[in-house]
Amino acid sequence: LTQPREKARIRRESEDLNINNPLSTAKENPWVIYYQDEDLKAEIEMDV
Amino acid sequence: MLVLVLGDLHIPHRASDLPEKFKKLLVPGKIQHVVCTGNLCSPSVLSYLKTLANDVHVVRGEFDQGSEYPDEKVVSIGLFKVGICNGYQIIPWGDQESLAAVQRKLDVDILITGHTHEFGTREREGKLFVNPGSATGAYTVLQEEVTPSFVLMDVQGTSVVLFVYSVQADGEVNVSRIDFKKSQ
Repeated sequence: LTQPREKARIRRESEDLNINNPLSTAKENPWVIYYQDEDLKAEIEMDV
Repeated sequence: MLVLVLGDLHIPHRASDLPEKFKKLLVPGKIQHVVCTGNLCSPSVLSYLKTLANDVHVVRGEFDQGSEYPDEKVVSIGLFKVGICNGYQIIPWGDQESLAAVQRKLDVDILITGHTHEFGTREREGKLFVNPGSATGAYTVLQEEVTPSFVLMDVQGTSVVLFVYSVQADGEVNVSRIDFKKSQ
C-alpha cells in the first residue's frame, strides 16, 4: 500500500493541498483511499 | 499518527461554535491525539473534543475558570516530546525569547502555545514552536478581526508535517503545509 504521505511527498508540487490533506473528503484525496485501505486491512485481519 | 492542535475557542463568550466548515472536516476515526491550548471556556467543548480522539490533552487558559486543567503539560507523541501551555503566563505574549525559555525549561522538541489568536510556526535551534491560533476566530483585546485556524500534525518517525487549516475571507477553508524534521 502506498501511504498518502509518501505520495504527497513525491507529487508535492503538483498537488492541491485543499484536496490532498488528511481531513479533506474529496474523492480524489489519497488520504480517503488510505483510510478505506486501513479499514479493509483491519477487516481482513479479523477474518484471518 | 495525526494530532489535532487547536485552542482559544472562547465558547460561548466570544464565539457560539466552531466554523461549520471546520466541523465538517473534523470527524471521528482519523485523529489519534488532540492537543488544546486552553480557553475552551465551556465543558461541552471538552466533550466535543473527546468525540474526535481517545487522547485529549488540555492546558488551562486564563478564562478556564473552575477547571482542573494544568498550566503546563508535557506529552510524548511518537518520538517527539511535546510541551503545551496557553501562553498567557509567558510575558511578553508570544515573545520568541520567552517562548524559547519555556521550551528549554520543559525540555521539549515541540512547544505548542496559544493565547495570541494568531497562527504561527517557527523553527529555532532545531526545536519547533507552534501556535494554532484561535479555532473559532475569537477576538482578542488587541485584535477585533481574527482568522479562525487550527493545525493538524502528521507525526511519522522523526519528521512532522503540519497541515494548517484556516477560514479565508470568502468563507472557504484554505490548507497549507510545513515540514519539520527532528534534529538528532
